[in-house]
Amino acid sequence: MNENRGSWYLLTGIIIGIGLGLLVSWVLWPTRYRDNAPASLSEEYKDDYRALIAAAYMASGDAERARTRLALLGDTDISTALIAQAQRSMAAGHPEAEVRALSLLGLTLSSGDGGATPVVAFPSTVTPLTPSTAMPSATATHTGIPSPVVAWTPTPVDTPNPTSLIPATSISTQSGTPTPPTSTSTPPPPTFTIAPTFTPTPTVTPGQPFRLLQKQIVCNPDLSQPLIQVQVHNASGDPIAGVEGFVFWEGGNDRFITGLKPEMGLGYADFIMKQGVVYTVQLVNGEPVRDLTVNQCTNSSGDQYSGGWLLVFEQP
Amino acid sequence: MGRWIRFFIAMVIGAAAAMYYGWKLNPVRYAETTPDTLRVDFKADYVLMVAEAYRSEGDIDLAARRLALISADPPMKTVTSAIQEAKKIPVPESDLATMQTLEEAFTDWSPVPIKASP
Repeated sequence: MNENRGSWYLLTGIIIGIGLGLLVSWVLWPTRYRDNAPASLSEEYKDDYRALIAAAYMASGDAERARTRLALLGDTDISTALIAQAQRSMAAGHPEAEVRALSLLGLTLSSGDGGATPVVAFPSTVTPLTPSTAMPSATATHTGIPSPVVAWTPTPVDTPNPTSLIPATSISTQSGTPTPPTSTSTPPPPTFTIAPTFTPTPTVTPGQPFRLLQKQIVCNPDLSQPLIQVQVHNASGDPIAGVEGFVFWEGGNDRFITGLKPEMGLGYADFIMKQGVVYTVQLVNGEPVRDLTVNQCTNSSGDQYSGGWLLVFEQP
Repeated sequence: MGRWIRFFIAMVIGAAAAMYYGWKLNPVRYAETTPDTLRVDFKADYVLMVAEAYRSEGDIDLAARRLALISADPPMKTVTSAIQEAKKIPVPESDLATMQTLEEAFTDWSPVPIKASP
């Protein structure tokens, strides 16, 4: 009778053993990684890590060190990840300093990839003007531009390896009453001077107020929605990224920071307008531009469509 | 050899093979880790970033919250450990000084108690 059982009991033993072994190795005592690299962090913590890198960059001005640190996160496109996080952070209402740091670092690193050299508005002590409606507080501290320091960011690793740090080898002014609608298209994004490296030297003069250089009705049928388009540049005509501004209307307000749409220019920001709403735009440390409403434009076929505004600011 | 002994041996062989597979060949991967599991040198660099940010922001409570992500220890202990780690390598004196400034800032620091809602 026993001979009829064959050797199936051996297979049964192996199967039970495999089950127990996997239970032990995957569930009860799985391999613990206590020496992880930043690339293994969850997306939430990667965002925290990026924000901290940007904050440290704002203090040190060392873009290469920031780039080395960001590389540890394993992002495919570092500057795009930074700018995308800046947009998410602004939408989520995170502190202005965090949004600004992320966007400026993103723009700086994108320029280092062969793009334009941005002029950035580093934080300065500002006193927001008081518009006709309530205005969110927007203050920052002047940090100055410290001298670069040698990077010693740890080297990335693929496998847990609790070894010591390996130092990297450094590592036309027109204000007031709006003019009647005209067939003015949106001007192309400004061109920039390409430079091999970026030194975050503030070319803007802290404390100098922005002045409205141009206020122009935009009738562009290619735009699906009427926009308030803002462009900010310095006296040399270089666009300034990281300038914060506010849009106010009856019962609400919103803020913007230039440079979050780098494809439109580093000094560019925009805001979607709604019919029947009167807007006021004000840059931090700038005069308010009031009475901005959706314009009625007419195309070549005689059809009407909604137009917006272009506001060009300059900091002397 | 009895059937039970052979059965037991087969089970042990199966378990050993499975554990080798589960621990060595295809171990559990942690793709969604938290900052407290970072390698010690990454933690040291994290502390340096906190110190650099503190230097310009001057917000010691914010620095403490950032440090809490990588360790449950008191912030000062976290910074001290990071400094000791940094000293093991040729770290620039300026970086050490930055971290020591943060360490000193925590000397007289005490957490702000969270007010309980009524």
